[in-house]
Amino acid sequence: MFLQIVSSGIAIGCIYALIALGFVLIYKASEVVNFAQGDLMMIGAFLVYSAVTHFHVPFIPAFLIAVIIMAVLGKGIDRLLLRPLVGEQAFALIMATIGLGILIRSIGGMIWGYDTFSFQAGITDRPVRMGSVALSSVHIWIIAVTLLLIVGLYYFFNRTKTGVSMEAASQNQLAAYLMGIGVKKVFSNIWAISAMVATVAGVLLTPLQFLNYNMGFVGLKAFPAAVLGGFGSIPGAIVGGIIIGVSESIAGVYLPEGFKEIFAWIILIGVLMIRPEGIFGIQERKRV
Amino acid sequence: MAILQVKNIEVSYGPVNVAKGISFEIEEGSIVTILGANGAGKTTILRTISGLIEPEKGSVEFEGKPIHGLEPEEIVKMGISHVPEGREVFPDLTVYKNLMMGAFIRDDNQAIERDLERIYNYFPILSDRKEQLAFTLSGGQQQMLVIGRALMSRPKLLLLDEPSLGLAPLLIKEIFEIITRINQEQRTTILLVEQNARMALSVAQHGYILEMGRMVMDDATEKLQANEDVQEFYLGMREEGIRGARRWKKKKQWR
Repeated sequence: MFLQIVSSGIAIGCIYALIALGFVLIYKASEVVNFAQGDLMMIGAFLVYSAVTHFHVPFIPAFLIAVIIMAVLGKGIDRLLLRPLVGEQAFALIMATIGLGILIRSIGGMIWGYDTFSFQAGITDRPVRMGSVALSSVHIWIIAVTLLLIVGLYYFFNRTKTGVSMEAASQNQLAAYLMGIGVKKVFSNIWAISAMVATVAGVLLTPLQFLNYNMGFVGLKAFPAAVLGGFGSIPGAIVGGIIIGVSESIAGVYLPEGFKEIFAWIILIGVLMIRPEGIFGIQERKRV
Repeated sequence: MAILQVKNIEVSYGPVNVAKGISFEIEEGSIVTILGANGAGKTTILRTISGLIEPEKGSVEFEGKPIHGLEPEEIVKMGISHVPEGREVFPDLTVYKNLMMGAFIRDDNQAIERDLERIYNYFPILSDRKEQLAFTLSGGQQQMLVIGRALMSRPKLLLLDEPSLGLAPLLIKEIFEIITRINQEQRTTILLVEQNARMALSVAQHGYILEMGRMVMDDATEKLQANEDVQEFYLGMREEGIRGARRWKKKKQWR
């Protein structure tokens, strides 16, 4: 029983982790907090849903099409909304992404309506026996895909020239310019990657939750996850997401009604009080 | 032949004029230094050359082609590498990856490997530390890293902004020796901006003196070293007056 609670916590935690990863990638590169990340996830999930149910595209191609559309959308947001705001105060950037989130949500509502849809995303839920415990195949699926994506991203950002140059541009913009790295292109690609990760998160979330234009609010839970991991740390986002997911699902079973929903926020406030830089956070380093 | 010609550039940050019509040129294969106090406009000149700032007026020509107004990445590709002031490493990348980022614009992998060996030869400490993250290096090692990284793009012209800033005298000497070696062995033209006038004049062949956004003097470095004003204001040598007292309100000749 306990193992099942933990595995379902890890599964939902993986979704938080992926959304938090989207926050972190963009924040690390451009110091913009993208409050629209959850809403991007909603659009990604609906694109797959529409392709499969309305256009009868098989699941895998539908998913790939959605990922490509989302990458273009991410680049578009960077180009049209954020590039003109470069150099503005952090406040303006935050308002811009909050506004963007509301805009995306409303457009999602206009296109797909305000109902909830059930969508299995090609995965059927059946119990998988592992020794004495039965785990849900959906949970295993979510964890496996997340793991695969993280390994892929790790490889990209650490082993490929393009990936390392993006990492470099996130760490020192001036130096990146002087190496001949196209910093604007890097930001645009980071937005594309973030939107693609959001699509994966959205598709993974659909077997757990109904599709709805409001589903982006799950993204709010990813925010404590990112803070817990140390905003700006990729491993932090993942560990933070999983901690939030697991503790939330334990709280849902062992604590009184209602605690499940607020547990992420209790953790957030606790982290900010005790260790504001997060688990993997780096205290500001002064260059000597 | 002049590899770089700067003609009459004017730059201002808001209402503040920092470069008020600066002109100078650099002979191919030489080391040229620009001396000047804080705020004279030295860094602005380098930033204008490497494309970080666009001048309001004037032109910058590299190998006869105008480059002002181009993006920094295009200028790097043409063969100008800028080592900015303040040891701008990629703090959370390893020394090796920092160096490889210097070769970002190149794809000739074998030649890159050879250049990497050459950099390790100039700065053996970087080879010892290649798997360490750059922020863990000392100031001097970071300075070596950024110079090495700049060389990885195989520049024809290397711009160095205050490489001696905040370093111990022994390290300064070492870094200047390597700068001279790079110039002689690779035939890399070097523009060196410094406050450490003594060192800069000893390695450069030609020097410019920049004050308040204007070039006030330029000459071969031997002549500059012999110049009274340069001696007093940049080399800190005292001139003993007849009464043994120093004229404390002395005017510079070029004012």
